[in-house]
Amino acid sequence: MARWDMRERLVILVMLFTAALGMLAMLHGEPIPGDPVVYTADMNALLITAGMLIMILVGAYALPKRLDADPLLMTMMNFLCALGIFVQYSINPNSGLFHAGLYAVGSVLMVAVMSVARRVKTFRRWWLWIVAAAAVLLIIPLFRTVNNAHAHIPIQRNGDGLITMTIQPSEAVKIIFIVTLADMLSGHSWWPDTLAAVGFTLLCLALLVAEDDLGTCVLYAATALLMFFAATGSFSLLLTGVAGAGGAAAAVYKHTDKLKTRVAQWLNPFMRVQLDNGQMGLKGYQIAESLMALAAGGAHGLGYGIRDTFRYVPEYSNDFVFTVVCSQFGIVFALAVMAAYVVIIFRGMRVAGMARRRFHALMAIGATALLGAQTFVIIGGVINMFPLTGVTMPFVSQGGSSMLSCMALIGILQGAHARAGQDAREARALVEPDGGHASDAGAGWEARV
Amino acid sequence: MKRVRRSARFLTALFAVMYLCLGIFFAYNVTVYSDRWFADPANPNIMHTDGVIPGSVFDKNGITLARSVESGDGGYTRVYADSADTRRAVSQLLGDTRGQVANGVESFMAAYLLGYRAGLTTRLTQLFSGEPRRGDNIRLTIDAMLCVYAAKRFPSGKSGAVVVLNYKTGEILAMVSLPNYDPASDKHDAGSYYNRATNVLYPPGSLFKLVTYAAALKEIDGVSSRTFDCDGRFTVDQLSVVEANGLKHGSLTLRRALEQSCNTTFARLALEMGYAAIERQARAFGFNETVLFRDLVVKDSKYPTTSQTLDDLAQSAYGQGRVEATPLEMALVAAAIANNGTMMEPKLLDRASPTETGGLPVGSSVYRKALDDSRALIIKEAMVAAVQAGTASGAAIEGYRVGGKTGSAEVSSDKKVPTHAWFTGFIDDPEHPLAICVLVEGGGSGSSVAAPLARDILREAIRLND
Repeated sequence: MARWDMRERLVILVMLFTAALGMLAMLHGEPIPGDPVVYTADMNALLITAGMLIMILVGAYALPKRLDADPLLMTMMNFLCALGIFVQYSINPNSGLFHAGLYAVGSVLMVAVMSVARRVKTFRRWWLWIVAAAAVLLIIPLFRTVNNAHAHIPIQRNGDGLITMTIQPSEAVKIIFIVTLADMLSGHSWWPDTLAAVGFTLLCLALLVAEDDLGTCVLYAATALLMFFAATGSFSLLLTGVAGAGGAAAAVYKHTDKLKTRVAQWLNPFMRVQLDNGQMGLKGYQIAESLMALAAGGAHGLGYGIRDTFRYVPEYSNDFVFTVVCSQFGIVFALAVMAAYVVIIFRGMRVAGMARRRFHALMAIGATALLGAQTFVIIGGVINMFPLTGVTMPFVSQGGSSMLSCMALIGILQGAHARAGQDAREARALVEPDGGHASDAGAGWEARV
Repeated sequence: MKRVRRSARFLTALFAVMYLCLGIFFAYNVTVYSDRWFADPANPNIMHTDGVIPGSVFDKNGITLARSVESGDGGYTRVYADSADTRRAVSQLLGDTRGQVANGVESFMAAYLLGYRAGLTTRLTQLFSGEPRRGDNIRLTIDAMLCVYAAKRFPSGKSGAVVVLNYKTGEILAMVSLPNYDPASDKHDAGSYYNRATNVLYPPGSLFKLVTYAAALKEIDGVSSRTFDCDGRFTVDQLSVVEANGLKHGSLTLRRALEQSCNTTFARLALEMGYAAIERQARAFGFNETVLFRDLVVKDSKYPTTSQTLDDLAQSAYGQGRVEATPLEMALVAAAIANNGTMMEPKLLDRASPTETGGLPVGSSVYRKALDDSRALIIKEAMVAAVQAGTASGAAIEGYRVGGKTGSAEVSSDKKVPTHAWFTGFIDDPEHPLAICVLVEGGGSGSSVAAPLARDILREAIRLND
């Protein structure tokens, strides 16, 4: 404890934030019958808050100590998850509870992924089986139609036969995709492996296009491109990829109406047009409602739990959750949320730089690139920086598949981090037999000395 | 491995730049546009105000223009001013929450009225007291009595607009559009939902000579000392520029040309300067700009330069052809000239506060420097001369130095169609720094219709101010 400890300050800040939101969430309990002013304290909110506070401490202290996890990465993820749980709770207590449950399952999944990712060095002999499994997972939903796309498998229906819950296999395949691509690109042998990587990427992209899930397709393409770039270090490859993506977008724009509509809505969301029902309406209804709601929040927001402003925003618990964050917490806080994602990206790339093996470095780059691209695409779409693409906002949006896959991505990063620490320790042990403490090797907090 | 490490560093930088752009785009757009997003008439938060009691709107003297009263069923309804004359005079300025009138105070300032701009303490008090949320009350810079007078004095049966503003502070004292409607009744005349002062574009006619004058003073050296020759007709290409009523002004200076509103002189100046020079000055006055005022939405006035014929250029010098402006914009031109070239941002909101009388006044801000002091002074003196001895003599007020410019804008090549009567001007008086613009659609001549109307309204404004 020689120096001023950044970790403590940040952890205290995140815990205070969580506790404050928890207290406000408790205020939103049911009114006592006959007395509309006095509310019962909300026990669910209390439990969630307590659990979350413990998890923040575990993530910042226990996991780094026992499993060599990166405490800053953990704390940032826990901050965003706490935000997600309480934002969902303010929209609807039931979906808040569901989100908290997902977080609990996701935490276990994350630790599991972490320990596997730490141990595995390659799984070359299983490639064929894994590629086949990914293809099957992506093919299954092709036979189902949910929300005009073929990207979901319905698993639960209500009494009227309406679909109430679905699984999105492309979320699970994200993990397989990154890990497999990292192994294929880690240079066991140049030609067959690179060919396999290109083939696997094209297969996934083609199936996602067939699923009509363009948002996810864009994310896969961006992730693959950045991983190929990282493996080769070739800027001309990166530029070619960007140009190719632009060409593909132009071709899609020319031949389908979907993208044309999106672009037109992006340019003039507030324009009045005649709707199908004959009435006048807003051209970019979704975007315009989103901008109106986030404008209502102003700089410091309307306050946690104020629901009036965003109830007209479509998909407000999912794609447009950033709008809810803006309207409740304000623009300044929304910028801080962006900053939290940036910290995760910086941390993830730092793990990639620390890694001693290509496989782990590429895996970390892939996971970071996917998280970074996904957040960028959805926030940029919601604030109308570019045409909207429907993907989820990591850790905050409602949606089980997405929440679990994002936490698994953090698991990959943590696994690469632990591996790097272990490799560094082993290397040092070879040089100086009594060196290498478990506590400082690979611990990612510079201020700790 | 070295390659991978280098790539990771590069990708870190790439993401940093991407997110920096995201943050800057977000912060910039929210700062500049969020009031407009919120005030869009389609915003459901303005139309469905359940759970909030919208605040009241007062004029500068505390006359209630709109308030919320409890209706029988526990909800609230909006009630407007007590006198029907007041309700009608400020009808489009105040607007509504049903999206009939574009961007009236009721919708454009809804963020205040519905409490979205309330401070933290107000909000916490409301949260814990259990009382229904109450929006802020707002006080406008408008003088309702002046609006009533302007609406009554306006030629009966005519359409048009009147804008009176304080050129030192930008405060709008009156903004009246005719025909108007009574928000308390269901009936309304055709076109009465339009705010003609801000949302309708008209050919500005000879008022635009002020802009051409300002451009000429800058672009042509020694133009003030030159003399021009007017024989009542000047043929450009296909077009013959003629004077109103077939007059011949003979030999005259530029200042006298403004005083007498000589078309041929200004057409000659425009041909001498070219489109670009006039466009620069027009832009400085706010033409061809996307105008973003904090308190009101104004249609953008236009000085088109796409068709480059000499005929068009000559006509544009005296505001015909395709030049279009709102009455508010022309009021701002006169205001900038009166205020030594500095255009203040027009302002409607005096203060907003949770209580009836509290709150601090919102400060004034400079919108832009439209022209430099020396040129402003020259044009100001020419406008004063136009009132003392020229076409605008109908606007003279005993005991005050008034400057002005009249316009009779043609809207059809058929000479039988009456022209729009325009007047824009100011009182050169530190006690009453008022600028005015009057437009009477199809009113005939600016000198005989608009100038006396402006004189009476300014006189009333002085009386009310004393």
